[in-house]
Amino acid sequence: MTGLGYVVVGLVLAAMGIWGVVVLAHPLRKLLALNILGSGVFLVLVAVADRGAGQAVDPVPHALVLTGLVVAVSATALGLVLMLRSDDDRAAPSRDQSDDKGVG
Amino acid sequence: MPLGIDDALPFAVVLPAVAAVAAVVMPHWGRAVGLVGGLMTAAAVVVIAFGNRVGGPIRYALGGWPAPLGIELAADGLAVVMLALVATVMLTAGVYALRYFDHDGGAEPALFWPLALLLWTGLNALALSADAFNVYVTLEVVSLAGVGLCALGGRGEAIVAALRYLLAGMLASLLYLLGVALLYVEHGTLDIATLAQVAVTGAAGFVAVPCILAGLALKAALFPLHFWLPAAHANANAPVSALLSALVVKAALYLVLRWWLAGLGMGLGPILVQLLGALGAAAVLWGSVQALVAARLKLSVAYSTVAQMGYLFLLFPLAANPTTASTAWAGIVYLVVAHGLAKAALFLASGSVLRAHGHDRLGELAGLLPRSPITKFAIGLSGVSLIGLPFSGGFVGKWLLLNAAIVSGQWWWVALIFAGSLLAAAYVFRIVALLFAQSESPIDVAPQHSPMLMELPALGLALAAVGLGFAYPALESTLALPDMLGDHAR
Amino acid sequence: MKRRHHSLEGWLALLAGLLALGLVAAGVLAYQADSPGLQDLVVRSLAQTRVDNPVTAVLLDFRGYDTLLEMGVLLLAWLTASTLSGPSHERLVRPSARLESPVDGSVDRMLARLLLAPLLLVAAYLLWRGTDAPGGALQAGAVVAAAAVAWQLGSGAESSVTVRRGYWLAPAALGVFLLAGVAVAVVTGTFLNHPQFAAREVMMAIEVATAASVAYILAALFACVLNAGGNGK
Repeated sequence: MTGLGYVVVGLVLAAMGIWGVVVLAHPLRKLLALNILGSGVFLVLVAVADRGAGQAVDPVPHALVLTGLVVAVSATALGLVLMLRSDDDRAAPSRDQSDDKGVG
Repeated sequence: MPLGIDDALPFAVVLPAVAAVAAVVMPHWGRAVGLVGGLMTAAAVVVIAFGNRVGGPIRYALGGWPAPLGIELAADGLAVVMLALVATVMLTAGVYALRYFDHDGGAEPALFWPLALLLWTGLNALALSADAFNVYVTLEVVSLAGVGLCALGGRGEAIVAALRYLLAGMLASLLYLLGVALLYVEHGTLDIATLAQVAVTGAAGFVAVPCILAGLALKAALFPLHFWLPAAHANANAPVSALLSALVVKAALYLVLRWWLAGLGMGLGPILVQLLGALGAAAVLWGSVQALVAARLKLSVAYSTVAQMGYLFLLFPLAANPTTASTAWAGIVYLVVAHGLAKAALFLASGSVLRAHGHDRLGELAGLLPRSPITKFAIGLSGVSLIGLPFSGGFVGKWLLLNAAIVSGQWWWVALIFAGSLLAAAYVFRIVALLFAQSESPIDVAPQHSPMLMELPALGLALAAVGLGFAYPALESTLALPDMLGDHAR
Repeated sequence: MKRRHHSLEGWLALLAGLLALGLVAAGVLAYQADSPGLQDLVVRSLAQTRVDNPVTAVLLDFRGYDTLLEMGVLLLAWLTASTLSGPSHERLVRPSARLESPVDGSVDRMLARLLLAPLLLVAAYLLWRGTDAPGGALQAGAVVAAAAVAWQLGSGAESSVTVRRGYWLAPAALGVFLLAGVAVAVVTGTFLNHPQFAAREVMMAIEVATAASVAYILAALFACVLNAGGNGK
């Protein structure tokens, strides 16, 4: 039952992450909060692999975490690129107004 | 080994994915690859539908590993409906995109095809998945493809909208994963059919189920979690808006239906059921009013999606009563398909208006479309189905819901459906009136003519949305709840 | 205005506390259910997979389909990010001003080059050992990507050319995965069902392609973030 402590820490991290995404305004902070939420969920999954003394480690949640990490990294990188590009466009808002398919 | 009907299940996911890889490697052949891959995927869907009709639900253990160790694909009646809707809208929007993205060079045409094909991969994988974690991965495929398509134009507002969409999507997926992780801790399995039955009664259910439902509601843009939708759908390219509004929000709702059908619905208390219905009601009213006052055509159409998604959450209160469950169920399925077709038609037609005039500000569109009777007709017809005028697909869906509401004695939902239809009539007539009005001031810039290849797909989808209503007598028995679930085959 | 803002924050903090409390309560209750997990099933089925490491068996065999779709997620992130950070699909990653100037030299060029060989060696070892010990394609790919990031930081513009040339590596994993999945289906009749006689070879091919795509895409995503930051005109 040593995993319980890690499950609790993971869930507290997840709650902090959810709070951060909702409350914080800047997209970078939101992205970081989402990563904290993700880390919390992954910590829960890593911890639950420990099924008690004498039992083999459950490899399924570990594999899920490896998959989830790659997904999280990809989404975060895309979020950073979008954030940086939207900053550019706020600095130069008029550059696309002549586009015929432009909306807005 | 000879190919069997069952093999169509993995192929519905593999074919669009192979086409997407080909479109990435050969960006100049995107259109041809997209069309061929699309037709082959549609063929796989037809085979699945046929197999389902003949032999009932199909299950397929990927890699030969059955659940709970491996991942299984499952195609029941509900999955077939979703696959068919996805294939119809994808193919039509693809034909439209042939002309829409016809300019050579630039990132848009080169990127649209791989992204759309990967979106199709994700949607089919999502519709077929019977595994709770695999659903998370498919949700991410759908979400990242949606964000990429949304940002496709690279224009300022589209990028900002795509970023908000991504952040909302990430939060939604992680909430869903958090719920699934808690359920795995308690039950040690990821099979949706098993989890949905034990989730509510289990010790962690009081937190895990709300997490899953909140994540999916955020993805489905249920009021008040719809904040990311209008900007994302209104600022994207027209074929993209059609895909996002007709399919991507439906994918999240589809998962709600899937969990609900597998047993989650039976365990939700009456308060939670009415609360979900109330949120749906708020979405209908708020979305319709916003659609009525929106300044731009595409923004109005996007808010109409918020409203129409609201109806779908009436499933919870109406199907909670066992006597009306089957009627409510058929009504929801009808509304999902009818709205998908009508909304895709409306966005494609809006794209033609936008192409012809260079803008879609409603105040300046009055009488400006004398030369596009097809587009006008498409907008009118899809409006008919959105309002729910007899005997369109939307009408049948709302009529079934009304039936369920009256029989189960929940008169307040009757009132809501009438109010929502009146509001829908108001925002549709506002658009139609502008398009058919005589222009008062002389037109200084002659609008460009819309190509037939862009006008006809919109008309086709609108006709399908209306024609769906006439097909009801033929479909009635297939829509019954036991048939959908494949109970007769068990 | 300020005061109202503070009270709102108080309420939100209270809500967050309740959320944490609920989550932890659910977690503790769920943990006490003491469910058996899937490890016994994995151990029993391991003999049929030709892989000795259970995590690798789950990733590549039992739940290989998850990994396949995950390669789709990586590909999607790369497609959109590389297009947004560069001018067109043809020039996937453009050497930008920011990449050359302020970042250049932030890691010592000499150090980056010194690190390269051992990092690649570690990656190769992780990939090789993955079948029977902790490690595997994702870890190896991440280490190669780290080496590539150090290299980019140390050498600026030169690396962008390499990044641009290797763009076919991005869809390689998804492509090989799909191809292998269909190819084994011809033999065994089931998608992704590796036949006994070739399971090791098929999985090695998938592992190598996955490591290559993960390494390339992670390194390219890093370059994309740098480029997007440097794109302000």
